[in-house]
Amino acid sequence: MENILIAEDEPHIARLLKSALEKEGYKITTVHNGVQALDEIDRDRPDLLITDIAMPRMDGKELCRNLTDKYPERTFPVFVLSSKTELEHRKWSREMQNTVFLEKPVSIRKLLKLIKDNE
Amino acid sequence: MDRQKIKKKFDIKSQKSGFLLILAAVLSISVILFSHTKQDYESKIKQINENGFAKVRLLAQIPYDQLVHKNGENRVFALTEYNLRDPNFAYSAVTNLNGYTEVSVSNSNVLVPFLKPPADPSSWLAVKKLGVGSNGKTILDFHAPIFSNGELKGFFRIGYYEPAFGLEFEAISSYAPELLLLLLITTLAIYFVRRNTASIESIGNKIENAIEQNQFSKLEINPSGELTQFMGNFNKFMSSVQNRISDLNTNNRELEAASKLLTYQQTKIISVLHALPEGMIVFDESGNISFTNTKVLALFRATNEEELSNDLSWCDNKKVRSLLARIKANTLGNYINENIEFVPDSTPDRTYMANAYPLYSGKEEHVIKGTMVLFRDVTEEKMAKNARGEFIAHVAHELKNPLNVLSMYSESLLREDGESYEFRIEAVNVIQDEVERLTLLISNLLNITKIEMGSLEVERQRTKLRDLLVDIHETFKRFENDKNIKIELDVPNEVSSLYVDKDLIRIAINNLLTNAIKYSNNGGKISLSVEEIGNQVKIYVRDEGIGIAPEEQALIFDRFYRSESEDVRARVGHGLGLSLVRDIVHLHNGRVEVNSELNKGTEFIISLENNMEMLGKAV
Repeated sequence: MENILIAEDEPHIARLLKSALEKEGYKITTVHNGVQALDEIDRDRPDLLITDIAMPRMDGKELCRNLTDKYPERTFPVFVLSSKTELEHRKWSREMQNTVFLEKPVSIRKLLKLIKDNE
Repeated sequence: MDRQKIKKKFDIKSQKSGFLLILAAVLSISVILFSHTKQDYESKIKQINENGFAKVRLLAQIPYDQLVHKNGENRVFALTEYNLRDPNFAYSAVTNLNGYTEVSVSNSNVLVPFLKPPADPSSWLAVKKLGVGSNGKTILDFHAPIFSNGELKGFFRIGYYEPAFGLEFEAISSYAPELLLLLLITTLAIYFVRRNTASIESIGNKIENAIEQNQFSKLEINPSGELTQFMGNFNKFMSSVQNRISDLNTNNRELEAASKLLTYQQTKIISVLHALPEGMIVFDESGNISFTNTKVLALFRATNEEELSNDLSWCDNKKVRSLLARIKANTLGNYINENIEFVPDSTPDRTYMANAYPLYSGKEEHVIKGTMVLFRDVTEEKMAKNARGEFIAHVAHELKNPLNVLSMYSESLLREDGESYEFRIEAVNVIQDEVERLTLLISNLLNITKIEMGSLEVERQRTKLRDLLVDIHETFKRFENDKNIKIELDVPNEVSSLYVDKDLIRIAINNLLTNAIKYSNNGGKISLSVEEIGNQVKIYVRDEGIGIAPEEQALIFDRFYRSESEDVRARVGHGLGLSLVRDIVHLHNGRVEVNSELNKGTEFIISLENNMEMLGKAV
């Protein structure tokens, strides 16, 4: 696993994730919404997508739906980050193939372990 | 009854009683006379019978030869002549066995009628009524056998006229005193009856007058005798009638007044019920609709109350019709308290709530006398409820974001493998930014909530605007280096003091300046200035930042509105700042406007009215 795409509109969190994962040797691309994420995936298929749910223009849920439509045979895993206040998103993310639902605030250590487990 | 009729009735009555009295007197006299006549007749008959039998029996004892004298000497006459003085005597005679008269005497030339001698000895001594004599009178013929030497020789007969049944003139004179007395009594009786009848007639006339004039008062009549007591009692009765009528009139007036009041109150209540913003249907205890107000008509598109029949076909909403049908069927007085939400066909953009409430009897609280259904427009209520829910969700989300950042950065700082010095500096700055963001968010949130609830009291005071702006400018100067920006202040030396809540105005200007810094680019310029036009004071906050798209300029004051532009999203914010600015300015009866151009900059203008003229200008 080399390329990781992070879709997160909260700049501080995006920056922290980028910094922590780059330090582990991953190549990180950050985008701020679902539209940019889809464009980026079209351009360069990542090995992992980490996406927030609440984002402008296209949120994480819509991004996942579009991904399933566009890439039914998707092989790269998707980590969905969501606050505990957004439990309504648990169900659909669990029903999706190759998708992990993570509660914010997410621990960097746990995230790194999860990435390694999915390699 | 009209007066003439009453009078006639009285006349007839009094005449009738007079006639009756006279008739009674005549009848009495007739009965007395008849009785006397009968007695007289019977006595005469008896006397004649006794006399007749005694005489014939006696005279028949005389020897036949002596009775029938051949020399023509009439012995019978001698014996019976005294009878001639008896007015009833008709004849006396001796007849032979063949029935022929041998010798006779008679009164006034009466011929002795032929009598066949009776064959049967038992009839030899007898009386026989004979046909009418020559003067037309009936004769009673007494006869007895005459024996000579034990041999029947003939019969002695005496005839008497049967006395007439009637009153003789002489007899009348003997009854005259009694009759006169009776007539006198009758006349007196008639007089008294007439006199009393006259009093009664007079009373009748007065009563009639009183009835005609509708005056129920005492009658001024002073009759004599028993009528005095009657009139006394009658006047007492009239007096109590008068009092009763007076009481009834008073009661009637009170009832009329009470009835008018009730009608007025009923009209008022009904007009209030019609004016209610809610629709109302009332079902009585039999499940029939007893009242509907005009709102219900509009709600179900009916033109009049008659259309709202009990078959409920007028109700075009299935859910409502089902509720109403349940209420209609509930005639046992069970408790029905239901609520249903529905969208009426007449107003598809509105949501209504139908609430059923049991109506209790005023006297017996547990007895249900019917059901009231209220139709309430809950559109705003529902929207407000949704808005409240959305607001809370937004607040939670906005609070959660900085907390997530704080949590993740602090965890990274604690990592054992250690972070670079640069990362640590950055992490601390991020933590500080987020804490400030949280503080501002909570503070804005509290202020907005207080303003909305009306619990924030605006403490207006004379405020030197220049001093306030200079102070704010000083506070913000420290951000100049952080972003390499310039914050300028342009306030004339002489500017009016304002009668405002200094702390609230400071919050508003702080929020505008915070935004200006946030959305400025490196090296940009920000200015805070004041302009006074007439009695208007305008405070300007200008920046040379990223600007606001025209279509978003009307939305930026909405609560939690954040542009989806990447330039905006790249900067932390919570979408409450401008909303609070607007609320504060509105609290001061002012206006806030925005002028902006994308990538050129933005200008916010707070316009406040200078209401300090009376206090003079502050230097």
